[in-house]
Amino acid sequence: MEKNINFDKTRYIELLKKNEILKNEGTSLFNENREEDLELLSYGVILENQIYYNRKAEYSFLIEEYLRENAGEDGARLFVWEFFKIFKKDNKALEILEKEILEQGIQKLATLWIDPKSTEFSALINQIVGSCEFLTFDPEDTYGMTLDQFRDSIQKIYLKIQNNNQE
Amino acid sequence: MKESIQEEDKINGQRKKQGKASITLMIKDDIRFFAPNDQLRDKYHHAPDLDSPIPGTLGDTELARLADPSLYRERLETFRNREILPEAYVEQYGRDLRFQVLNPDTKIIEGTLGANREANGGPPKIEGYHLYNDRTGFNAFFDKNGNRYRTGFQANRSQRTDIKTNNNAM
Repeated sequence: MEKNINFDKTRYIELLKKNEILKNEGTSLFNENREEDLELLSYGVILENQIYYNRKAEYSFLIEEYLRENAGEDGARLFVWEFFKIFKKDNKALEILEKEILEQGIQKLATLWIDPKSTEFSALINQIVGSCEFLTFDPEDTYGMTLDQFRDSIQKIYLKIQNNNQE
Repeated sequence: MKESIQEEDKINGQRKKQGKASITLMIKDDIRFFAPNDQLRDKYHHAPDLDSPIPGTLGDTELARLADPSLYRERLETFRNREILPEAYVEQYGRDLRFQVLNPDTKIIEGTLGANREANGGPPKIEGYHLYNDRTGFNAFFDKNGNRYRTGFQANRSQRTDIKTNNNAM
């Protein structure tokens, strides 16, 4: 499956190490070489996508519960809080994984399997993040999403997640 | 930092007299950025990104206990109780945000929030400023309509790519 996604493990580790050295020198790949920085980010995105995908059941449960319970403003606030708890845990998991990769090298990636469905799933999770950020209870906030718009967006994304499962 | 705090004290003194909620002020590169406390409260789910203290009732242990699906109503009731997030926690979150924004590694990037959402038929993007720190990965966004704080979060890899290549998040 991994052959469908361009993930050069050796190059990834090389860039990861380079960035670490630069960080210890008080700078970063972002400051020194934008092209390589974006390349490193692109590998991080692949791993990040898979981490979100590994927790698909938990994300789906939370969304289903929100849609089923229909608990208005408080339900939306609870959903946002709990969604971000999982999401942030996953982002932290990538940081931990990268530290382990730096310590253990390519061995850490030996059994890594990237599911091609993880790319789309992650894009949908990022869309939920966007909806959560734009949710507003301020009627004067013309840039925000009302509760109805928010619920509608979550419903649409959930349908896409279901399709992602079936493909 | 000192300049921001002194001016913030003056502003909040006036706002208190007017019966208005207080704000957090950040002055960076001669630009004044404002974070109203009500907005900080609405974005409190990002407080862990700044290692801001979280009230025990909202902490990991409590939510883990309440994660049982049959306890949805209990989770909701706990969350409804506004007393679980005292103002002091919100104010600390504001101070932590200011510390991050004024960090010399935090750079101002003029750009947008929500261009991807707009492209997908969502609400219009917001023009403003990203205050992005590549060392910590934290990004705060302030709109150009009064330099008001909209959100701030630890950007994931996908969001970092968007910020760096398109000056946009989400």
